[in-house]
Amino acid sequence: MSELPLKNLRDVSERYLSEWVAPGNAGCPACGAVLAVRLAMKVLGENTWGVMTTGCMAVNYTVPGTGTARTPWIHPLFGNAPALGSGLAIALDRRNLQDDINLLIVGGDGATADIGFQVLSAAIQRQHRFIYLCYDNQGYMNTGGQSSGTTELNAVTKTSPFGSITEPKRLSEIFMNHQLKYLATANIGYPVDFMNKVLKAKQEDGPSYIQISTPCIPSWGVESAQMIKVAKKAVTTGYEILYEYSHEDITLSNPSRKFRNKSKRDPLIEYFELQKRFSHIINDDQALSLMEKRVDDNWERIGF
Amino acid sequence: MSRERDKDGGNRVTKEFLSGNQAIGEAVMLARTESIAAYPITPQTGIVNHLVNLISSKKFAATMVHAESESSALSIVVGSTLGGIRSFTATSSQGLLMMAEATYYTSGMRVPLVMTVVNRGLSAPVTIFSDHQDSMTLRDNGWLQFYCKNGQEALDTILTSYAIAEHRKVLLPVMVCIDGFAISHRSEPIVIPSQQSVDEFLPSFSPEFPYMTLDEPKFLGTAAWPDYYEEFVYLRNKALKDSQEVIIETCNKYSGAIRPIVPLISTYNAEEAEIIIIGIGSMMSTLEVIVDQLNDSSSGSVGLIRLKCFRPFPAKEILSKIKSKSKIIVLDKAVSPGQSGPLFLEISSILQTSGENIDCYGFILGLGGRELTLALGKRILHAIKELDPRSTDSRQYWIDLNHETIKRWTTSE
Ligand SMILES: Cc1ncc(C[n+]2csc(CCOP(=O)(O)OP(=O)(O)O)c2C)c(N)n1
Ligand code: SF4
Ligand SMILES: [Mg+2]
Repeated sequence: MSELPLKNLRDVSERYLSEWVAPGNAGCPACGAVLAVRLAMKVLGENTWGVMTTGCMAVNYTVPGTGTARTPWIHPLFGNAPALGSGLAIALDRRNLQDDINLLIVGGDGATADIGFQVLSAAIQRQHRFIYLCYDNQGYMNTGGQSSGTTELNAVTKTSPFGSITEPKRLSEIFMNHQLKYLATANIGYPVDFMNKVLKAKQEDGPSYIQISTPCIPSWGVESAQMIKVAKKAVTTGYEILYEYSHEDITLSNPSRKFRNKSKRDPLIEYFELQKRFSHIINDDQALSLMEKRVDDNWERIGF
Repeated sequence: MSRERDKDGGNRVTKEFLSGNQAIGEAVMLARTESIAAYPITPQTGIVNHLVNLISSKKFAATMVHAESESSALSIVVGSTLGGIRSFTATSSQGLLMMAEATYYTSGMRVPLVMTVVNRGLSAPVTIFSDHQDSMTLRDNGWLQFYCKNGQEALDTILTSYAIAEHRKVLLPVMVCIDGFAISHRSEPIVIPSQQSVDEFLPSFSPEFPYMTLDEPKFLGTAAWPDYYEEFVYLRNKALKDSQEVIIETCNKYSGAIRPIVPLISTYNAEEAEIIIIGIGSMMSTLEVIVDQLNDSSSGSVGLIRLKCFRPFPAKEILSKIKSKSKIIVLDKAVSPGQSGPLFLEISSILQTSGENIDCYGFILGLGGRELTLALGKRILHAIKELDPRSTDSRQYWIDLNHETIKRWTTSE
């Protein structure tokens, strides 16, 4: 049974009434990651086994007294979730449950880009059926906001007090060069687009990878009420490109379509201005023009 | 490989000329293991090779993953066990240490799986040859630890280990250790029990532990803050201690139905002897021959205690065999640097609390594959005549050193 794509938020509220994540988790108010997992679970539904790497989300769900999950989950270690998930996939397969139960592996950017990098790489190569959801908040937030492999250039973190001096790993492009059935980048500011991507991944019979950018309130230095606004700015400034990749084909997603045209983009500074972690470059023209050039390079490299 | 049919205790059994590694592969198949994940490391590779042969020749229908690291290999079988199927992995040395983090997780999550450790020394300096430093380093990780004396015992121990691990009073992972090369690569005639007798002994996997199921969804692996954590550690410790009863029960059942198997310790000439040598693994078979020769000559009477089970530590069983002896010699193929050998520490601590007044000597030997010889056995018995049992030397006496090498490599002169 294939489910049709969602058209708008009304569709979401009509089709997905059930919540598979109970209220009352331990995340910061307006945490982007909490919302991402909640929305993904709406699409995947109760017949889902989840695996969650050590990080903010595992803590949000498991700190004593929260009891947030209404579906089976397992919290393994920081770096081994795709391996433990592979074992679950094998068990589902051997028990003939692989078509009835979705397997969702949720990983932070640190777990995905750094400590569990080879682990995910190998799990994809083995072609188990799972959806890997990387919630990217560009840092080790659970340990207080240190740099990770996806921390943006110039972003201030606990380990880069003057701004990060290294280029982040292009994680989605790295995994594009794996044998995924489906890959997509998403942004929590565009929930319908994201949920449709989860829906596609759900219908695949092999590994898929979705990376969603999810602002972190304290470490990015944003107001809770601005979370969605910040997230959206990443797209409307062209800084972040949302796309899908399957069968060797890359497609620009709806929210980003308009911003292929450079003149339609919001000024990049509007994205940085909303976040304290970039406050030191707001008046630094040299830094800003480098950041702008990187945006253009991204569009060109990815090929839109 | 020659297959020979014969009858043993009413069951049809097969006898084959197999290495220890191959014997383990046969046991994993007999246990109807469904999920196997491993990463190559000498001297464990023979197990993986044999399993691949069994699977590719369609004798065995397990799912096998050639993982990208040992940490992942163990994590995969933790996942498949929590997914509801019987699982196995095997490693050695560096691989075991790479798994260290996941081994604690495995026992903490009470995941009943079985792993073979083919013992090998640790780098640096790198070696492929055997000692017990790898598994001894992880003796506190909450797993049961068995050390086998030969390939036959390894096969029997894998089968009993699944029954013990999955017992609802235990629910802990089991490490079955064999010495690299001396057991893993040495071929001997191995009696393989019939599938039917194993099926009767070991029922199919039906997990009686929290695992992944839609019926009663749970979040496994939650955090435990100070008001809970200690109790979880206590319960794991209690399960490990109490597993001794299950080990005895299970081994008795196996002995009755299939073949005799040692549950905790075995002895050799221990009743008559005044001096007892305590040790682990295949060197204890070598020592049987050495002891026979020593006892024939005039060195006094020497007996042996071999620990097959190291965790849980069979303190009472050992004490009952050493009461009224005059001296105990503990042989360690591992060392806790700055202290003594790990086995010596355990034995001296049980002696301390028992109030027995027995002189106890600890010898470090056999590291990195060095062989135990008759001459060395004689040197040990000679050394205890001169050693003051209250000296530090007697706690960790390095009996088999080449002093030329030491002189050449000493940096402090
Ligand atoms: C082996 C290991 N090293 C370090 C840690 C400490 N640690 C826990 S969570 C975490 C950061 C997680 O970062 P990420 O995956 O990006 O998730 P986030 O916290 O941002 O949600 C670290 C470093 C750990 N738990 N295990
Ligand atoms: S620190 Fe950041 S990622 Fe963690 S819960 Fe808070 S907002 Fe979410
Ligand atoms: Mg992060």
